[in-house]
Amino acid sequence: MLRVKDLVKTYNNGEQRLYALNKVSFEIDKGDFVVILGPSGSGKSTLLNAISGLDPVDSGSICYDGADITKLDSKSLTAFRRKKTAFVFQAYYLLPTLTAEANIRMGADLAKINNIDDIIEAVGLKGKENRLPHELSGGEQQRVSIARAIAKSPDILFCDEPTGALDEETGRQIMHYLTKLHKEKKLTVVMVTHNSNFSALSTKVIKMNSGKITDISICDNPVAVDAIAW
Amino acid sequence: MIKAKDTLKMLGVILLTFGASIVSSLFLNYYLDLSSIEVPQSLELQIIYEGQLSMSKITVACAGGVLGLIAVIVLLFSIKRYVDENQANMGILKAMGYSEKALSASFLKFGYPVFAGTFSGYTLGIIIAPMFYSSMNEYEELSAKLTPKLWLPIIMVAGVSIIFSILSYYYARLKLRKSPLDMIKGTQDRRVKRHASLSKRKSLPFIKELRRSMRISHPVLSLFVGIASWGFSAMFQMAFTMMSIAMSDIAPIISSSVGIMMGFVTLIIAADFVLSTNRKYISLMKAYGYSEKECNKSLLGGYRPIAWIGFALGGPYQYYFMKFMVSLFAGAYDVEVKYHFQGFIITLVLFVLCYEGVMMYYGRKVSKVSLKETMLM
Repeated sequence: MLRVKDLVKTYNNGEQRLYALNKVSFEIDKGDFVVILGPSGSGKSTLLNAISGLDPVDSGSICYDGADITKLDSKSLTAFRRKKTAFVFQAYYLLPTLTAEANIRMGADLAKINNIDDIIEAVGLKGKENRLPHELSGGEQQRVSIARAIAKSPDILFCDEPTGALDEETGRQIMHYLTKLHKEKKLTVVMVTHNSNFSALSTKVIKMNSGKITDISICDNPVAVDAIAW
Repeated sequence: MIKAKDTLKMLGVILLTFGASIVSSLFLNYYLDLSSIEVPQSLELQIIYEGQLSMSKITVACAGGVLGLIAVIVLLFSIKRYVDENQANMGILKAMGYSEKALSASFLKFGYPVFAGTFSGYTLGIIIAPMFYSSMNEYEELSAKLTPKLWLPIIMVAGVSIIFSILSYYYARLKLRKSPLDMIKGTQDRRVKRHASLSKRKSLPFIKELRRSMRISHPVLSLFVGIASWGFSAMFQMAFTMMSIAMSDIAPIISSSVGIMMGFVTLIIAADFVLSTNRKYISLMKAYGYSEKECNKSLLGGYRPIAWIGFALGGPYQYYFMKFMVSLFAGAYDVEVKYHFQGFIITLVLFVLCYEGVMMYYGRKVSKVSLKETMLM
């Protein structure tokens, strides 16, 4: 589904050239639950932003079903993000003046889905549709953010530290929703985290350090969320 | 923290206070000089005398007052924006022990652009006053002479600048009344007031809903856009009406200049505010695959109906205002005020060009909002 080859992304830091991504290559299959692990500054978020079409790279290729998105112009890249991808961010990033339902509609309208009741129910937000983001708890806001993403019916869901701002109990709940979506909808999920315990939930683990992939492992039997330590 | 040269970049405040000062200095000086001459004996001249005094008072209140009021709102917007953009830095300073009083004190410098505007406006007003007086002095018995009044520039330049400085200080104190942590994280700004209609109805499609919420969550901004369009429409059409009834040569120029200033400056400031406060959300919409056109439609497009309502109200307003002004001279002048249809068409074309021009310019700015802003949240 996704083939990344020799990806390079650099930043200029004064006279020095820093490699945020240094010849990164890997593949993701349809229905994978990929966890990208690494310490702060390892390049994991840069990698997520690059492969989701948010941030351009210096060289290398990112092929989705055979099409290289690094070669797309701005309009085609917008169309790619519109049809294929969705995001869940650590800080939720909900529109503060819109209700939970309207925030979810942001995703649903792109997929031309009118009835979002099922999605609201699936993330346990029934009865809270008319609340504004600040009237919801952190976990509820993240559930709105997940609902907004899945309402878009993406091929691939990118999550950047989705439990980073949550306590253990709420974080487990969010991971429960994500793994459930992955299993039930056969959704491809790519998640960046610094919590190595999440690797047990995934089908593939990509470990990064200093802009390079240090290890890729495939897990045949992902465990349930309740079975992992936090 | 705030440098004087930074505040002088507040072109909107400078232009508005400049406009308010030039109009006020001309008509206030004229009012004071005219009221100091002896009341004429002839009934006809008495009517003209009283009419000109009333017209001067009304002009100062309407043009000078409205521009001054808009300048206050623009100044407060600028302070809010400055605090929002720099609240992390200010939060750090607060955390280090700087008091709200000390931080707010630097906002006193926001009086500088007001001083620049009022000083240049008043000075230019005095320079062109002889020309203005000669256009107003139609009758020898009613000839006002420009006399120096030291107290007037002290009030209009120094006084107004000091008032704006004090206003800036207290408004900044109000905006800085947050915990240092909230300022560093920028958390409290995400809280918005719940509008009563939110709980009662099903939400609309996303773009329509966002457009609606933009209008509701920033009522001052909506008012601003409405006033800008109303001012542009009224003042421009008024200039045509003035020309049609052969009023003084200088009045149509003042009227159309005030219209341009009100329309352009206010609209630019409103659009700039919408863009600067929504950059993150524009970026998010783009990340989700919304096109630039859709982003524009949902953010800037929400104000279009208000702009048209403002424009529509401007025409009748100026018509009845001019009728009222002419009625002040009833008995001395027999002039019939007619609705200037050609003036309306020209103003309409200019309005469409100006409004859509500004929207197109800000639409381009929307297209330049980087996707990276999603990552920097």
